[in-house]
Amino acid sequence: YQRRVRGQLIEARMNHGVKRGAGKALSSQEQKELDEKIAIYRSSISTLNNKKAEKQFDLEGFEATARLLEHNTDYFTAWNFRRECLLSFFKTMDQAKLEEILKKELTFTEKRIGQNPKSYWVWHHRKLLMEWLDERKIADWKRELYLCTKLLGLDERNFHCWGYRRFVAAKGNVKLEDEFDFTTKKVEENFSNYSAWHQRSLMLLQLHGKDDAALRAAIDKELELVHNAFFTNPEDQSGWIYLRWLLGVVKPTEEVLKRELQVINDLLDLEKNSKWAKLSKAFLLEKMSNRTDVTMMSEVKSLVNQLKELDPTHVNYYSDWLSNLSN
Amino acid sequence: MELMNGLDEMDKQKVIEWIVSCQLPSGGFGGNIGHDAHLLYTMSAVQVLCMYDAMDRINKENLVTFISSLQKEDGSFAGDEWGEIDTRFSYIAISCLSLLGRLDTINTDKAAEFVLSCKNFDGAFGCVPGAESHAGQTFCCVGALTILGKVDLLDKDLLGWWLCERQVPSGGLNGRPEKLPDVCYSWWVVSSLACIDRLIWIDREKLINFILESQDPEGGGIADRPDDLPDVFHTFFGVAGLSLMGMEGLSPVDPAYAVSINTLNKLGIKPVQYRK
Repeated sequence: YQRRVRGQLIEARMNHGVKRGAGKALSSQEQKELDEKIAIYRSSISTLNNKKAEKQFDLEGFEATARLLEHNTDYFTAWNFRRECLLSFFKTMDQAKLEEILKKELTFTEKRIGQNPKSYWVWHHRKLLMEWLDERKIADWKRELYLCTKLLGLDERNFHCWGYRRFVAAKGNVKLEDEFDFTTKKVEENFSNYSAWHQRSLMLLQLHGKDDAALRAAIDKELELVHNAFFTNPEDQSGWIYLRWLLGVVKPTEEVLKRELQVINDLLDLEKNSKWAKLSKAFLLEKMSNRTDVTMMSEVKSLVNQLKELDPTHVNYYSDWLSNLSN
Repeated sequence: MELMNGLDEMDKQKVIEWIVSCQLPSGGFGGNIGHDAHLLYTMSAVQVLCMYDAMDRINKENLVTFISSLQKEDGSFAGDEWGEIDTRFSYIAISCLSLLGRLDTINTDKAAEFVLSCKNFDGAFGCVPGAESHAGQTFCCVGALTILGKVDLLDKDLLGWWLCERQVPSGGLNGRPEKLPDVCYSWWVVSSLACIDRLIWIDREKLINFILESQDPEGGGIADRPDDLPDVFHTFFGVAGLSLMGMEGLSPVDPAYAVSINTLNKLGIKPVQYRK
């Protein structure tokens, strides 16, 4: 199954964000170039398959995989064969030649990531490559961290990159505090950066999990940051979802709960119909009352009923909540 | 095709033969003839063979060995010998072995333990411990726990809330906060919700509309969102999502196994019950 859209050969695969509509017809020059690319691709497949069959993990096979992966980073069998070649080179090549090939491999994977930053296969290949370099004590983890920072600058929500960054930070012995500061920077750049908030949820516990007082102090600072977020943009759900968790990491003191209630009420004075503020207030009151304080629980019910009107998409969520309260 | 009661429009024998030729000596399946074995393609092979009731056509023992041998000490699963760990692979291993009736070949307690270790602050799941919550990974984890009979270990209200908040004003669902809606999440979010019996927490009519609007009226098929180019993946996810929501004319699909209830019945596996 093949379709030509705007001159690109679109194989039967997952398409995201590709508009429908008449692909423009190719000029004869463009068609010729495309046919040449296809011919090279097909001949590379033959080379790969022949080399695989003969278990010939040599330079010719290695180069053939490059021709394939340049067009298709998801050709996982080509990545596998490429790695078999590298493993074979470890045994047969001299140190200088090997280091040159490995350096080129870093560049090659960097280019593939640039081409397709969401391909699981490429990220895994780079991870394995870096582990091999680390075994030989020639891994540059600082550079890897810098590359992650660069890519997250272009796409702050790329979870492959965040995951790779966690791997790199661990291998490179990066200080937890420094990584925490990185997430602060990201959140302050954009309060909608859920990936950064998520990373903070991990790090709060990594940094202070064993010290109750330190954890509570850190949570207070987080709450301040979250307040900034929702006063800046009350529609932004990231901070609100994080808030719900913050109020449950440790059992909050009555003082903290009262303060949070005040902050949310302050916001509601400015934004009378903020769904997130009302929702969070309802969660908060439920927590504060422990479901026993009649006045608070009646306010919870009132808020949930208001939410049914304000947020009709989730009407059944609110109905289930109310049923639960009656039981 | 099965969900649309159109399976007979394809050549069953040809499909089975081609799948059989994708099985490797290790027992796993590649994406195409001559490709290496990997759990991703093994999942598809197993599902199709189950639908066609043709499991006797392949080397079942090798298949079971291939899958079970990918489990690690911490309970996780690699996708193949190259060692990538991901909860997608936990789901695939558990689902396949369950369909094959061979869950006895893995450590299911450890498998569940690993899956649970991927749960985040928001109650949803990522690819590995510490990875950000994503609806696709959440389906894998919730599906895996459902098949293992451990879905009650989850805080269903918290998770259900995160999941139902994937619905955006246009009616479509996204996979994570602040991202664009995409038809494939009609499967991953909705099936997860069904497994924890909170499917009714999304607005069914609005989602059905979003999926139907994502059809290609000329060529057929369903795309990731309205006006985009369709493909088989989004067509499957769209149709399966519609089936989950009880759309008339479609055969009911099971939210944990992603195969029809008919197929599960033939295998003697009990489907998930949920409020529609």
